Amino acid sequence: MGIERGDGFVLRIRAFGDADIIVTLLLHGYGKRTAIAKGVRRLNSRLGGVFDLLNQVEVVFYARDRLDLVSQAALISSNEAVKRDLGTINSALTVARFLDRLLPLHQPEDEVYRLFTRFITMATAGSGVEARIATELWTLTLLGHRPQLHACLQCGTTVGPFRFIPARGGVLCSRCKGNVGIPLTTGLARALAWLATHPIERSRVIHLSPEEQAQADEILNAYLETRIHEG
Amino acid sequence: MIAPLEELIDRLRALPGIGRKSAERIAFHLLSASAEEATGLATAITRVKTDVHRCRRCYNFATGDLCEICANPNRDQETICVVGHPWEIAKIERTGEYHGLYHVLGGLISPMDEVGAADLTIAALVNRVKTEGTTEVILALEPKLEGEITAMHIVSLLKPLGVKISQIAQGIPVGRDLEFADEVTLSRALRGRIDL
Repeated sequence: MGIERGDGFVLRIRAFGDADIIVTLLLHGYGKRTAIAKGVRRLNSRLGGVFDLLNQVEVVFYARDRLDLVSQAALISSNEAVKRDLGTINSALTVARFLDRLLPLHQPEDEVYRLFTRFITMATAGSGVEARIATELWTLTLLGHRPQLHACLQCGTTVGPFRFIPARGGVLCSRCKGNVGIPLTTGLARALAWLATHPIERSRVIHLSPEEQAQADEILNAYLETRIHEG
Repeated sequence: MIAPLEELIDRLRALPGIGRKSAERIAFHLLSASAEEATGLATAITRVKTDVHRCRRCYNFATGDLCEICANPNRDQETICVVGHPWEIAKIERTGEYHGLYHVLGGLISPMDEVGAADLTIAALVNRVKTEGTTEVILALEPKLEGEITAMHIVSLLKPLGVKISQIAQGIPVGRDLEFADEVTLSRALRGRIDL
């Protein structure tokens, strides 16, 4: 058990025991870590305001096999600008949940860390749903799970409509599909493929309708579940 | 260890805040206690499960149709204090500072745990405000992001009804040194400062 120091984001918090929390962190150089922070829920704890969702923190912790132990922590930023608007909070928490579920423990994944930092910077300035979806797609790409959305997995056509097949990680066209999978139009397939291959800062050029957003979320969630189940 | 004792220890260990040692201590205490004491505890646990349910008005714990607070005509009927959990009511009651009614949400909105507004009693709160002549709603939710999300959602629903909405102050606990306060707590304390 060694003592380590790192900075990163609070992805998740769960109450544990009478006054402790189990906090999931995305730390630069360390990746996703889960740690127990003792006594944090007590009013007299110095760390009460430090560990809140989406906060950027510096932590000193005893590294252990599964559950680290927080020794000290300090707040770098509470990202208040992200937390002023319900839509922005929901977007940021959706990405945090996506990372929490997808990232393996103790893998540094610094590219993902930098991606999340860029996303939070965008969210601070008021980014749209497209930035959130782009960040989720890029996370999949960085972890080696980029879905094929621009062309049919079987015949290679770029003309839809398509169906997304979570187990195959891509789309099949109407000629190859059968009746399984999640339907998506050519337009949505192209928009998602574009978001998955361009910097998230450029996601503003794409505008997804509420129906397309819901469809994209259905696709991403189904694919996430498949990856988690298989991984 | 003999099976009934082991089972008791296992069941006690499943309770929040009780580890193996505490569970063993309680189990051995019960073993050496009188039959009346042990049976009394068992009966109390059974009664809690059979006799206590949620107040149909505010979702606090109750033994009748309404909880003691809702059934008390001397309470201020125009003010509702919104809390996440029933046990927070007891804390507020002990202050002696509040004399209105309560509304228990049953938790907080938490996208991380897939708890949405529909999983809470927010719709019932809005209905109460519409039908009970409420003039003020006080939000006493935990000062963390889930509490803020829940508060924002409630405000968006209640603002159009023209009711006064306030939130309990957030900041430095009494008896604490300022030097140990983190920036978030201190900035909220400053934002919530009062005129003297």
